[in-house]
Amino acid sequence: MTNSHEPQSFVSKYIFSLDHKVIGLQYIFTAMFMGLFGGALAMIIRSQLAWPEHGIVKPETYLSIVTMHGTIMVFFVVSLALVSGFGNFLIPLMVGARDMAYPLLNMLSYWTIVPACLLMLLSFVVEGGAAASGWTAYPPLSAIASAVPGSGMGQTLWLLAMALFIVSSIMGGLNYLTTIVNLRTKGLTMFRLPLAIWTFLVSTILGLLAFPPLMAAVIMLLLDRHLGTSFFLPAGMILGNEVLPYEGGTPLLFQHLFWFFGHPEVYIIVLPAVGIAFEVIATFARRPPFGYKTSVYAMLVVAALSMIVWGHHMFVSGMSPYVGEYFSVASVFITLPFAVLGLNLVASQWQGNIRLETPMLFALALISAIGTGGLGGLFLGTATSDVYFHDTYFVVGHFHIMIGMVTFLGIFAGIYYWFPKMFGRMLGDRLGKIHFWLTVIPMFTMFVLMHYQGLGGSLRRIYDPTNYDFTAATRTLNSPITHAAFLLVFAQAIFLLNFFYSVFKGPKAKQNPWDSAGLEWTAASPAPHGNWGEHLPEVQRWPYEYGDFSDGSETDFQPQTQPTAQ
Amino acid sequence: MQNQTATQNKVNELTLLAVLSTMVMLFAAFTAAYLIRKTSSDWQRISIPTLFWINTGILLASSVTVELARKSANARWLNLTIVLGLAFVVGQLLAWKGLADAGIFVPSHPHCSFLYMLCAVHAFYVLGGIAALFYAIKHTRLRGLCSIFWHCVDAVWLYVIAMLTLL
Repeated sequence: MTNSHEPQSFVSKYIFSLDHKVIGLQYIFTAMFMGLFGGALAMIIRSQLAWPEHGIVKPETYLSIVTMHGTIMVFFVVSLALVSGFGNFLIPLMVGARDMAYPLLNMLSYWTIVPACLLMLLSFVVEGGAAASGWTAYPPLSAIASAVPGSGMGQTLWLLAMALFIVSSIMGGLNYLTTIVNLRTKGLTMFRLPLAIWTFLVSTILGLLAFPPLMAAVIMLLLDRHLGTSFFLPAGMILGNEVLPYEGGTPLLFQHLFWFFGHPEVYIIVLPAVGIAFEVIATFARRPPFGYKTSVYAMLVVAALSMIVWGHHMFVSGMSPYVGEYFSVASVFITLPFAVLGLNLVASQWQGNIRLETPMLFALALISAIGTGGLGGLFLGTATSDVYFHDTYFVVGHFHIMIGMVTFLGIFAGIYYWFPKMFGRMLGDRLGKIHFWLTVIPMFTMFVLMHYQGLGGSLRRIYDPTNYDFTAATRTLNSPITHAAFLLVFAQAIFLLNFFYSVFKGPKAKQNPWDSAGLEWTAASPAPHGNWGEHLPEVQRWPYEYGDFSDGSETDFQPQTQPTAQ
Repeated sequence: MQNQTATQNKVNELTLLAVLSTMVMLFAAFTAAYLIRKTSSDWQRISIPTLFWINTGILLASSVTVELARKSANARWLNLTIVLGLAFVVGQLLAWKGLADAGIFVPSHPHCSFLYMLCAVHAFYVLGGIAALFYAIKHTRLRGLCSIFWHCVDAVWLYVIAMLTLL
């Protein structure tokens, strides 16, 4: 693990870099780039819903747009930024390592995701357009090429891009797992790790277990599409006037495989956001997180339970009510450890010395989002109520709060917080606070109103709500939701301008501008190649020594490397 | 330096465990698919051609040679393992050709769809194992872990062929 020589050329420094910090930033920038597409797609959806009489897009195109919005946002924005981006940047810095365990594999994992992104974007311009079977890609719609225009080449490219995404994720996961477990610096025991690292560890393990079943589903769907197999295609399907030649497959098999992956996936992306919130709140409340060990155990229980509740996405698929009852009980059970995490976030502020800096604002709003969105989850996780709510806007509102708001607030909290570590400058604070309010208010507005739409019976993935009487009660909400969406997009434009301006012209930062006790702040800002100078830091404490002046210094915290009193 | 090697060994061991976990989860998913698909009325098991059993024997022999390679100073047994591994892959392709000549293609029956697919996915892991063995020719301290990976790939093949014949 000797420190490799510092790279010299532009290509080795910025393109094919082996440095985890550069790779982490490459992931974050790629996520921002894909976010432009994900956001544009969202605006097309919202415009179509608010003003359906204009027919902004064709109905089949609308299905492509909701599919690609979901796919791009979940995998290529949120997962890329949170798990790969922050994971890569923070893990070696927080465990006191010079780099990841396998820097070359790390670089390859990024350059595997790039073709995945390109294939997804390419699918928009091929004949038939992008995939149109939902981000869940259910057969038979996704399996029959002529079923809908997007099910042609677009769906094939989608599947190939997802296969590359899975391979890249696993490659990255190998690095995160081994670096956290094996490359911790001297004195850094597992229970002296920051909670954010625990969340990256649990998220990684979940990923290694959950992604392979999705790969199996992708492979079988590709075979059904291109080699005429019938894994998912039943007998007796009729397309146009002809009976298709498939025999004996079942679309339910795909649903089981997809959701066996799909439910852990949402925890894979939410847990790191919660971890970032713990770090930010500790620093800006000037006190350790409440219930550190309990939070560790809680996230392990959340992860374990998350692998046995996938059926709550399939309550209306015709399952036996007894099976439905099991999945209901297990799903509601997850509320307990997850609520422990949320309550610990709240309690971490008790008797704290709160500093309402921009990262803290995002972290606090994240707690609120967990509570608000999580409440809806109880009704969706219970079969009896989900029979009504399934495929309504209640679901859409719920998951947008959980994997849209919680995750994005975590990403923003992380960016504002670690920006000095990344670039040696501060991210503009005034614009930051404006970004905060113009993000949180529209997001809450949009996604809480969607819950009302769902309660009123509005179904999701519908092109023109005015076609159906059952949307009459709540379709007037579409216009205010869309207006809020425009405000949200405007806020993100402010953020991007602020971000790129601050990278070059922001005020220069001190090494530890937030007075944080974490190990990553003992490295320079920006962190250099190799992270620390000649000697790796030696850890003497956990990363949350705040509020104690007894060491005689003028500061209210002791960094992780400061020796304990004899 | 010794400390670094010990750490690197631990890192590599954990990596191997993680890679094996993903392989297990992948074939577990295929098993679930197999068990569910089997319940349909069109399920008809085809008999496994002899060549698959010969290939199984080749793979078992390669596990023996990789174990011998682990203890040997030079690369002779390792080279033989690589040759046997490549022979296995070629044998699988020939077995596929045999099936195709008999008119049994990928979509012909669900059972043979699984046969073709599981062979292909497994062969992908064999090729990965061969690449690892090539790497281990030079990096002798990795031979132990590469041989464990090889044994697991072998075990997965035994599992696949047992599933196709017995389940």
